[in-house]
Amino acid sequence: MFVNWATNEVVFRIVYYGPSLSGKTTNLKYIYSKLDPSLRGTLVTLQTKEERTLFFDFLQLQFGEIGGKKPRFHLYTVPGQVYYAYSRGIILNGVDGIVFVADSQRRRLHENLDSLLDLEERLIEQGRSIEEIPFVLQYNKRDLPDLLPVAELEAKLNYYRRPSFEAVATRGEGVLNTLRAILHLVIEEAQPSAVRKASWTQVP
Amino acid sequence: MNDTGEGKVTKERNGKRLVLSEQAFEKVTETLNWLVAKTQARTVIFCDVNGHLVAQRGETVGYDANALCAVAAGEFSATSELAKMIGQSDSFRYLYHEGPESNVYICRVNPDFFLVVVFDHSVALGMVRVFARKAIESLADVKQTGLEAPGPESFLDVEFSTLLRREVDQSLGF
Repeated sequence: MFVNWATNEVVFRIVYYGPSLSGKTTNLKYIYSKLDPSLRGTLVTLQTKEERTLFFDFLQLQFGEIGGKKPRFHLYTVPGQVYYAYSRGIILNGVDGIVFVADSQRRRLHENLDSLLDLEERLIEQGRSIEEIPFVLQYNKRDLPDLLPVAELEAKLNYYRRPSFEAVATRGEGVLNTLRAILHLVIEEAQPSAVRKASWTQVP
Repeated sequence: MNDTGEGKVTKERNGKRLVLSEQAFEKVTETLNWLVAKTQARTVIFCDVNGHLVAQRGETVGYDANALCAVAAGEFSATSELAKMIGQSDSFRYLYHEGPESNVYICRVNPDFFLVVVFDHSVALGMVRVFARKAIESLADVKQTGLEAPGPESFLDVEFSTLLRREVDQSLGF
């Protein structure tokens, strides 16, 4: 969280993480297309000619003024390819909430697991742990053939038992639900600890 | 003084609260005003290495300054890695981009902050370089001071959180 008392802005950093081609940029593009222009800034996408994310995507969400403070959410994606580990580390610096976008196809399971492990390693490098950060998972591409059942994805990927959502980001399905969940968790985390509910974990 | 009585810019990093004092913030804004006046640059922005805008002077219309800070911070980090790759002992201090209408000069102030100067072709690069260097000298000691790790009290009260959650839901159509 970053607070600029001169402008009264309170900025939260949310990072969309996950393996390459899992749909992180598609999530941001859908959010950008759906939100009223007064609620969001410019969508920055730093991509290669093949439309693969080269460095990151960035979108600011702004929700007016509340009690004199101006809440802002900076949404970032990371490049998924293995060799961009350095970029991912930079973007995770100071992160307040993480959305892990998994590819639900059976053949991508190992890439999902590698990406999760990579996420944990990048956080450990910064002296942090995934267990102390608001975190949700999105099982994307539910419209494709040869999918892993959600129960299996839950068992393999959601070992911290965080909220999870099915999605077809290309059609916008599940995108705003995922966004809403991470925003709520991040807002809750910013509250005084005494009143935080134990809602990070799923309700059984 | 703000309502925390602690400073002008506050952030949390790895459980530690970092603060830019009001005095330091005033020094930043004074220096930005001076730099705009001296160089006639279109915009001068002071941001932190994570891409957060701290202060801005000059023309503000026509582009998204927050997005600009995010991209500039990313670029600065990438070139730091480039510096390491070619065996530099430290990251690059200045980056310059020349465009058909406008130029951008980015300078590292210290490990926490950098300065972005946007100027058009009527302004000489040499002048921007000279005055930006003076600005950096005057801002080099601007640092965030570490405070105790945040306790049960927080920046945001329960009412703010409740109202913000409601605003989020309305805005997203829930």
